[in-house]
Amino acid sequence: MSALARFRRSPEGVIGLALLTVLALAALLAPLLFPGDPLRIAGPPLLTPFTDPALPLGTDRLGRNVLAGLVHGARASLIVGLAAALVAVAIGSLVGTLAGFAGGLVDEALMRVVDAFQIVPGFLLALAFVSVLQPTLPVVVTAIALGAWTGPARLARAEVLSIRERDYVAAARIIGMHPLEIALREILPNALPPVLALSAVIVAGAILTEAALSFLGLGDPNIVTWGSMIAEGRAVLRSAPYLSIVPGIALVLTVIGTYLLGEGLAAMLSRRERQA
Amino acid sequence: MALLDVKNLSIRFAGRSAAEDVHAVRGLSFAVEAGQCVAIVGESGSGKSATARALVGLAGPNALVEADHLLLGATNLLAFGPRDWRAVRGRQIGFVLQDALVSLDPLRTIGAEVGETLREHRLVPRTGIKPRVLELLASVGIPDPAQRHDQYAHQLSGGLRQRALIASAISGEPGIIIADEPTTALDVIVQAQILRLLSELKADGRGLILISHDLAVVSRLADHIIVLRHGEVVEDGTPEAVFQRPQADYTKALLAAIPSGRTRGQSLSGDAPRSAAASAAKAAQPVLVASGLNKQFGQRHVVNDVSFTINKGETVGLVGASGSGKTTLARIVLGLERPQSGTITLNGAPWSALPEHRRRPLRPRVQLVAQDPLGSFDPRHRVIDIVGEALEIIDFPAAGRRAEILRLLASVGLDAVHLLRRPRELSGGQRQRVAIARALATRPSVLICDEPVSALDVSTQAQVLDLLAGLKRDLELTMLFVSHDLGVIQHVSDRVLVMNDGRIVEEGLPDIVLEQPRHPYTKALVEALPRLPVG
Repeated sequence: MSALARFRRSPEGVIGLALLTVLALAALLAPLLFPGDPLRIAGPPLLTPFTDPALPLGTDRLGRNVLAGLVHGARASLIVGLAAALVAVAIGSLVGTLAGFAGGLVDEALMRVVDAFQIVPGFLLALAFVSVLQPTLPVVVTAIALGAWTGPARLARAEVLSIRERDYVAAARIIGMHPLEIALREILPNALPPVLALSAVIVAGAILTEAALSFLGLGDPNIVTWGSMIAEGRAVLRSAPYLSIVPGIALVLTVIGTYLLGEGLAAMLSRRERQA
Repeated sequence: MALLDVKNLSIRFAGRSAAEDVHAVRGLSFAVEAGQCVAIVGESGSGKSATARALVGLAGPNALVEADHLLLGATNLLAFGPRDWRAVRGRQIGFVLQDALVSLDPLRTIGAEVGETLREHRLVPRTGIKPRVLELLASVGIPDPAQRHDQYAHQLSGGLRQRALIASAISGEPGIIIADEPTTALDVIVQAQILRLLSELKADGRGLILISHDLAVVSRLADHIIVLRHGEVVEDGTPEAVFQRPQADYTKALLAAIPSGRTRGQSLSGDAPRSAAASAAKAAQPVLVASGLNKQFGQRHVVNDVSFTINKGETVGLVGASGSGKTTLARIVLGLERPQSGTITLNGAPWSALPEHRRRPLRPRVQLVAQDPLGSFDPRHRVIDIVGEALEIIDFPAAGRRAEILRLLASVGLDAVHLLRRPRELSGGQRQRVAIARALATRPSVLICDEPVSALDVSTQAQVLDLLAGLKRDLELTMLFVSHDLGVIQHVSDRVLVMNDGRIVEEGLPDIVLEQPRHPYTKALVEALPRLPVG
């Protein structure tokens, strides 16, 4: 059975993929659906949802279109989430592979660095990093990745420790392959599947961290994010709760979608492992 | 009355439709009498293990077990539910599994494991369990039972673990014992001991069902041999009839495929008849010279002052029990381990003494065919990548690479169809052929074969051995052939090294070493070898 067929047979994966596809489409098509700056004033302030067909989800305190903000905010959430996870998984699996393959002092040194990052709460690290530097998108991505790369690093190292004792690694040594080539060509690709399954969890965590940073006003002020929308609605939580609830629901759906997709991927990859 | 009477047994694994059903066994009939042994012999996929499991009601949830009758004494086993089976297992039918290390719970002591049946069936009062377990351990020949009682599976050797499993199988004093490949994971000497133990159980009046892939193993014990192939009975008779006057072509092929000293220079698989002429003696030209090799792991002296020479075009067989140090020796020759003292030279130039970065460019000259071909391939790679990788290392021009891969595959009896297959889509024999093709890709000076046929069925083993013999003749291959199987060693080798406890204890021509052994260890090894009662 092909990997794709295995993925299709896991209902969680399919639901997660559907949710994320809708979200990704909204994010991609945002400039077409709602051209112009989503932060501009579009109507009367605090318009209740479902009263004006032109502004289906109403407006906020300054009269900005909530739906436009939501769709544009999807871009920020997805970009930050994916970019941060990508950076974290790339750094983590590279460090983990090197530590596991080299062993000895290199392993000790790298793993103590991992320890150092792991004992600081990831969110505090991101908070400190962003408040020292300017809250631009790359800085936010780096800040989140700083707290998230240790998981993939540990997982990759554990996988590599087991894989490097396998016969096919000995076979690669016997034909005279260079150790670095063995690490990158034979070991890393085989160590990746569990790390990739973990990356869905990292994406979800990164999206939440980004929302939390924005909520505290540490996001990029020039772009709409769901976190900043929730923070915006906080002042009028009693009179217009929808301003916080709507982006909150979007956030929940995104994170659930990511988790479900991760489940599907894990099922697909683990079954391949078992066959191997 | 027979202890167990099986008439027209069939086992079917339900597929998605009736057409996809897999018939594991069809039309199998036999009866087990007290003090008799029925042997069911077949290669992998023949249905022998499915039969064994069906007889204790463990065939699995999607297995359909049907028979005209399946009688244990006077009880009809076909009508049994899970609760009834539990009362039978251990109490009336004992089951001995193949791999004692995975069959024993690593977190429980041997005593707890062996006493399980006694506790489960409440056969003796609680306080009587330990004395009874000690008795059982002693009866299967485990020395110092009181100490072993409190040890865990990993603290016991393979032979002792297998004895413990047998003790556990007989603890409920079952009339029938089913042993599924009970000696496959063991080396010859221990195998002989376990077979002796099983024959004692038979002499005690128990009925024995012995499942094996090895005709020679069952030949001493069996009173009745059934040969299965693809779930069908192809041969059924007394050992004398089966060995002296085999009826089915399959049985004849199976018997002919067993390697030994007599078969040297001959084809085993029968599909490639060759001249029996032995390789003509040429001026010895040493390719690999090892002198005074030593390797210690902690206190254990795994390789102890080992010296030997392999000449060009020669196959040197290295034989020894598990733990004798032969795999470590092979790893030293491959340059995967560094000896603590001693040197290996290759074509007159230093090899083992080289630092890794200087040895790496020379590595293509010493290649390996490993025991487990599946494990020695990157699971993501296709055959074309596996062989291509080796060509890439020796900077084979990219333009001619595909043609070279096809040539190599053709030389091991594979073709273009297999190029894009992944290792797990190939059969065991095909995988080993790919492993040989990869090893030959770099045109090595020496080929190390580390138990290359141990994981294969007899008929596949015959094909691979024939292939190696043909390649040796055509390419003048120089080989170090490591095996625990004396028959295989005697079949392939020009010269034999016998290894025990890290030392080479005997060396010489295979016929002399293995027919007239001088060293006590070699004698024990040769005596323990199960032989076919053929003339």
